[in-house]
Amino acid sequence: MNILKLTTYIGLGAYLFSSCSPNLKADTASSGDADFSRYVAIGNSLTSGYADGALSLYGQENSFPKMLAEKFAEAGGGEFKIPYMDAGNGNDGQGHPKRVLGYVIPCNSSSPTIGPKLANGTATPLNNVAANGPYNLVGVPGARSYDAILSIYSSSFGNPFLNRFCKTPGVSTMLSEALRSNPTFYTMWLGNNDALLYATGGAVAPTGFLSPSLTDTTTFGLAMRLMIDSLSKTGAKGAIANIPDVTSVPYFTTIPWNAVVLTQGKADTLNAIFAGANLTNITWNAGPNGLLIVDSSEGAINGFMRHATAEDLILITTPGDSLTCGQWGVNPYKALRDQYVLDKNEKIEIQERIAQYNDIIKTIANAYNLAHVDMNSYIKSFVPGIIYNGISMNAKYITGGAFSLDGIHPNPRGYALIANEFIKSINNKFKATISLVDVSQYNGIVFP
Amino acid sequence: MKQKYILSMLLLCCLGTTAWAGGFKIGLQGQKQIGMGHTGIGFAQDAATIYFNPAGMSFVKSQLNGSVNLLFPSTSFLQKGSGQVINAVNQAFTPFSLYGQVKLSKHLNFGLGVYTPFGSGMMYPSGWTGRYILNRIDLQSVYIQPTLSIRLAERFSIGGGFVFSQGNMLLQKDIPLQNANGQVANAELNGKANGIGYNLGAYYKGCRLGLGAVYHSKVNMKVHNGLATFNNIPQAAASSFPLDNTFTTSLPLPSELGFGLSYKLHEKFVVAIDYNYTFWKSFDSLGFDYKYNTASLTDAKSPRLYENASAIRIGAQWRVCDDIALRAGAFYDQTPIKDGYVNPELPDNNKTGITAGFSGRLSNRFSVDLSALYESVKERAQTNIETGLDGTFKTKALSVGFGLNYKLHGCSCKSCCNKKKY
Repeated sequence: MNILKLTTYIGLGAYLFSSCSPNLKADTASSGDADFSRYVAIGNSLTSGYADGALSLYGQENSFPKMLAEKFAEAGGGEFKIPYMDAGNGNDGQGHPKRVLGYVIPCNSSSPTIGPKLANGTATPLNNVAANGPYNLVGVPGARSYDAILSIYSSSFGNPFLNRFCKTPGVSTMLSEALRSNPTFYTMWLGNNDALLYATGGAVAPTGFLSPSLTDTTTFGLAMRLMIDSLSKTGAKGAIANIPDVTSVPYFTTIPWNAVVLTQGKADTLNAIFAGANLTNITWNAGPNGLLIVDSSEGAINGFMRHATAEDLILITTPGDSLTCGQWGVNPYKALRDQYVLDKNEKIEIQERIAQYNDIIKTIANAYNLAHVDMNSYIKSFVPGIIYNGISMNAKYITGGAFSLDGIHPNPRGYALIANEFIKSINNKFKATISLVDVSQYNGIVFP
Repeated sequence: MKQKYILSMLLLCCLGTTAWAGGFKIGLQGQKQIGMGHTGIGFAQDAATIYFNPAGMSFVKSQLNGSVNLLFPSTSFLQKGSGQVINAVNQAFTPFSLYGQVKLSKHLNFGLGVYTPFGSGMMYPSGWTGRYILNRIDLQSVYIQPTLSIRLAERFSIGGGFVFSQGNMLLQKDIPLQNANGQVANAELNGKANGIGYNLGAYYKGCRLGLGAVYHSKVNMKVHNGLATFNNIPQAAASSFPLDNTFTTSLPLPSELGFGLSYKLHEKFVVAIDYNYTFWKSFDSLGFDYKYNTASLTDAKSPRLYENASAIRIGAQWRVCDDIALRAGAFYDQTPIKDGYVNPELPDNNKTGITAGFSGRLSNRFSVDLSALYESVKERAQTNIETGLDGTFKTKALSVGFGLNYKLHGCSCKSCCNKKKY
């Protein structure tokens, strides 16, 4: 019957139509004024892909420079060699594996709860991969600005992460390793550790040459300028990122300053004890109270005890069980020591120094016509929270979804967001059209 | 005869066009009307007037009318800066309609309509960038509408009917939670819905002029005890997503006011124009009330903030002879969705469409209708306020429809262009 035939024609026509989709056109990737054929990434742990408290193959595969290199490849980018670790739990540089989420039994309960713990098994050995160099990814966990130009830093008693892939230990520097690839384009995100190592240690006053301190701005400026000057000499273009404020990351914001929650009865008992010990500046009230801390900042009397305030930061390294069950921060003999606290003055000292570093970075970026990636502002936006294609993320530890379990380094999803900030700056500066990373394709925190 | 049909088919190919209306309304309720840009409020010519204007039944002979459309929407998305176009999975939909009406007395007509005025379906490729917003949505509704029309005067009638609506709602999305095997958690909400409403109409039929007004009430589709299923939830988060959970929600299918006019320019040539105003404002949010709530599973509402929207439709019909009619039409349909609220469940924008139609009489009682509709949803670039999805959506759609009419009392019309007997 002819209607059958008609239906066939209709079906055929409809099929032909449905096979062609609406003609949306994507921009083709172009490099603009930049040349991505030999891209080198230089920096510290954040460039290396360090996460969950260790450098691992998984972290390297999810590092932001690798993501950038994959996108640069669409616009003339060449091979991007990474000094890969062997598969495994990674290594923090001192033989510990990375942290994972697992079940831990808290001191005040017999039922396990979810928390970070060291991965089962041993750390991945730091394999020596120097023979296959040079590498495009020169990310060295722990490196400060001036470490990048010190040859002793690559020696066997220097930094093990650099030592494992540099050409000549004790002679090579991070800078010389970067220059070996003869880069046409580079990213540099360096200088975080000049403040961070001091901050993560609770801003304890340096006791010797090797103890962490705040790098002075002259040294910082000289080192950073030397790096950029050397990298730019051959005409390479690049991007430089600035340094996020410490108060933006969970390492410093997870343990609340007022973690001591008391009943009226408990508060009365404590007040009697403190009055008896003549510690009259300390009083306790029903409800949340500031932790008892040692204020070590300049000007304060040594060993001066006070309640923490909202201006102080309690570090994530403070043992949780000691807070919960060990009377830490409550007992007059167990005030939180300097290494667990960034008190108000220490915090301000660090923030001011980071602001100075960032001024230097901005000046260098302008002088050398670099793309300037304002990572400080971007990471700050995590504090209220951001949303990417339905994924809400913020700066909270674990539940925030952007930082890894060490509370400082991002997880893969967070690194992807960072890669996009680099791409936006680079596109803007060099009139390039590098496509953005699809953040939704990268893992957040993995739950047991 | 065969040749003639094939010829008309080719003609349809080239004129190819039509549309489904703003929001998740489907503008495919009658083949003859689709052919004329989906006009029909002021031009009652078959039992589909039960939907278009129930009062029109008074001027239509007793008949049965059934039709089905094959609807092929096609949507693409370009995430801003991504350099990659994502094509939604092509699906075919089959909105249908069944109408029947009989004359009860000189003044009274009874009719029953079963049709699918609202629905939507979107499916995105697995793992697409918006997976945490939506992977799939499928909304279906079937209206059952018993209707009466009363001829109050020689040229004037009123009509009205009750609407009993049955439907289904399916939503699938991923949850940004990964278990130790690297699997991503996902959620599925699936439930049956129902609601009630009514239709009212008034119709004037002059020698040349037809005038109509119609009101379709809101139908609030309620889902009770729909199933909320969560898969691949990490053990550590299992308590946040209780098993055997159910949900309750409601989806308002909006009310609509319509006015239509038709004019017989010539014995064989009619033009029609319809105006629809849809009260989409009633769709201000989509919320799910779960039986078991947890910190991760709250009864939060997601804003939609739809705005009322207009559509204008025009159409023409040329009755070549008693056996054959040709139609063409066009429409412009305004989107109810504000900037900042476009999302993957309905990547809507203002649409324009063109339509064509054909009718042929097979016998004294049987006739066949064909329609084709092409519509283009204007491309829309914006950032969704709630989800941050930033990019451009574009949609095209094609529908082809086929309908059969059976007149309860055969007519004695003469064949004018073909002397062949059927």
